[in-house]
Amino acid sequence: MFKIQDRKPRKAPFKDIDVARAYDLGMRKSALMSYQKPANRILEQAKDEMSDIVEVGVNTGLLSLYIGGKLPDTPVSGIEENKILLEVAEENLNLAVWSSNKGDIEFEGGKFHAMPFEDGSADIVFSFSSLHMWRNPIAVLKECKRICKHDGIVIIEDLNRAAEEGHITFVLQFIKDGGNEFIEALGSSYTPAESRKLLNEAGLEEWNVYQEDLGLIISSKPIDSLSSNLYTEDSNDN
Amino acid sequence: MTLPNLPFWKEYPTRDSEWVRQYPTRHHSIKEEEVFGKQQMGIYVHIPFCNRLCFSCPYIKHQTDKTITRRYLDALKTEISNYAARPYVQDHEITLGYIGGGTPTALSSAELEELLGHLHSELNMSDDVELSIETTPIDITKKKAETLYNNGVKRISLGVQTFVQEELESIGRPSDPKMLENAIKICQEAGFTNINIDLMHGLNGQTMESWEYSLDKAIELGVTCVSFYTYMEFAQVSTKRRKLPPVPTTDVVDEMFMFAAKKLTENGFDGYFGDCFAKPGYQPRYGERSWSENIPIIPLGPTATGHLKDHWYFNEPSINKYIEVVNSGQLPISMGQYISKEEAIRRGMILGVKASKVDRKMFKHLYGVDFVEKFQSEIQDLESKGLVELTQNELKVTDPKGWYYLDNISKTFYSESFKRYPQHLGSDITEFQSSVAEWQPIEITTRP
Repeated sequence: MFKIQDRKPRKAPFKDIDVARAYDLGMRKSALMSYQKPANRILEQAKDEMSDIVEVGVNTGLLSLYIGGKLPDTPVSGIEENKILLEVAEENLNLAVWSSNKGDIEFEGGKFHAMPFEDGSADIVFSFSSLHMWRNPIAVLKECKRICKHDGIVIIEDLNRAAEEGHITFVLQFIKDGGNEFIEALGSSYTPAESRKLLNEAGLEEWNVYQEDLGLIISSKPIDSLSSNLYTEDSNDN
Repeated sequence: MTLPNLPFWKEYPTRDSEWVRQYPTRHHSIKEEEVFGKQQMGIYVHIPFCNRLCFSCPYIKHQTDKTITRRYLDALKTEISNYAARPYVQDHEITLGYIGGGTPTALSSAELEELLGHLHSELNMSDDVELSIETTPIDITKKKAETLYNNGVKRISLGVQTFVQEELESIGRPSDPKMLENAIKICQEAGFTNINIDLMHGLNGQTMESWEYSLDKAIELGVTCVSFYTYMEFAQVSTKRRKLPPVPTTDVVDEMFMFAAKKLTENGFDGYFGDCFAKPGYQPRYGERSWSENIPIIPLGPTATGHLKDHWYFNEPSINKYIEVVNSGQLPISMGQYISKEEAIRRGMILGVKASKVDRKMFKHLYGVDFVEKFQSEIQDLESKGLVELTQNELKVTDPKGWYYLDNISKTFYSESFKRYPQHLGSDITEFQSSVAEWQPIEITTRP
């Protein structure tokens, strides 16, 4: 029904800052509810005295700002390859400072396949709605593993191209003006089977792939609340 | 068994000499009215404007703005005339209609009079057409109420939501309960004998006691219909609203539903549509009859949904594009679906149960099948769950359990092709679809 049967990698999704700002504004207006679940999944992993939380692909910074505000004693470091998105994220961080956000948050530009973080330095490595834009996902997955502490966790969430058509229809009707952005992101996202293949190629066979609603969740450790949503080779990719 | 030897009926190999030229063969007395009588039809008119945009409302609406309301009203009248000129529409008589929104009474009295006048002059309105309209206690005035009543609107629905001051404040409504009572009085004094009020349960800080207070108030004020809706709390961006008391838990909201159903039935109301209650004789025809009797509906205005000529469809959601399309002489149809014979039968059940009961004889008359035979396993399953009761003449939704699960009951009859797809919300998503053709059922239909 939708034009997303075959994965189409996105070409430079934001051609200028005005497009990125418009996208960010749309997200700020409509995504607060849809961010709750991923945010809570990250917050559930929080422990006392964490040294760092890293977001891979901060987009416009919203999730890092939210997590940072909830965990004011833990540094949150966000990295973004796309200069335009990074600039909008910095604007949002600036506004967060104005509104007395208590977080310890910093965004910087950098390459996902060579992140400027020490081995085993992050308690939580997370990514939200960024995987579909990674040019070399296998290298980035390996990099996420490198910077994550042995007892830490990597959680990568993105859209699921194999999500139910009914669900896609429902969301398309709700987001109204953001339809093109959403369907492009969805069309360039991975199915659970494709994600499994990426993990296997990255030597991360022990990592898990889950499906939830429209989303795809990759984690380095089992997430109990998602146990019934675990993707296995026997599951259907729709 | 030996068949009787009828003079006009021969079994092969004996050659039958009756020259077949008509069918069906059994016949009875028939009158001109039955052949040429006008079939029933309904209208849904959408007025997408509100004087105040409620943050808790998910529907597409626009701030009332004189520059666009005028252009919109002209386009709406053009669309009405376009439909009225079609022979198919002329073969019907409008017996029911609903004017919703938005807030239809965001239009001025003069504009409402102009719209209603145009409907009456262009379409074959039956003498006893039942027109319903939505309004709010803030928008209704004595003049508007009188204009509506004097122009054939016989049922009015007010979005009251709650009679409790703190709850009104929490949903951003003017918080004077006296104003609400006054609005109902205005409608009664204008002549309206059929008045519905909408109430919400699940509001921030709402308790069983405050819910009961609102229900008691509705009963005391003498309204004839009460509809209640579950409040959907969207993510609050206002820091003030984020500090509101929490919404009741799902269990409490469920309990509120059951409590309201019991209280209203004890006070002489009958349930319909699951969460709507009306005094006997005041249940609106729109919905109940259009669903039970498969009456076609003309959709008028952006996002309006209709059901005509084997299709259900909805109109272009963008108000400016709607105006442009209508002014070009086209109907502003945006998306929809062809209804095959099989799906029409299912639709009859899906919408029929929404009207609380499905009449076996009427269903057979409309669709040519006995739903008890066709949906035997579905009905047995629903009966085993205590959601429906089947009698010789009808399938009836149980009270109150079936009312509460009405949409679950309805979805039982979806076909596999349409299972797990949402109800439309008025957005045109055509550009994202690969092909509409794949949705067309393969069925050879003869066109006259």
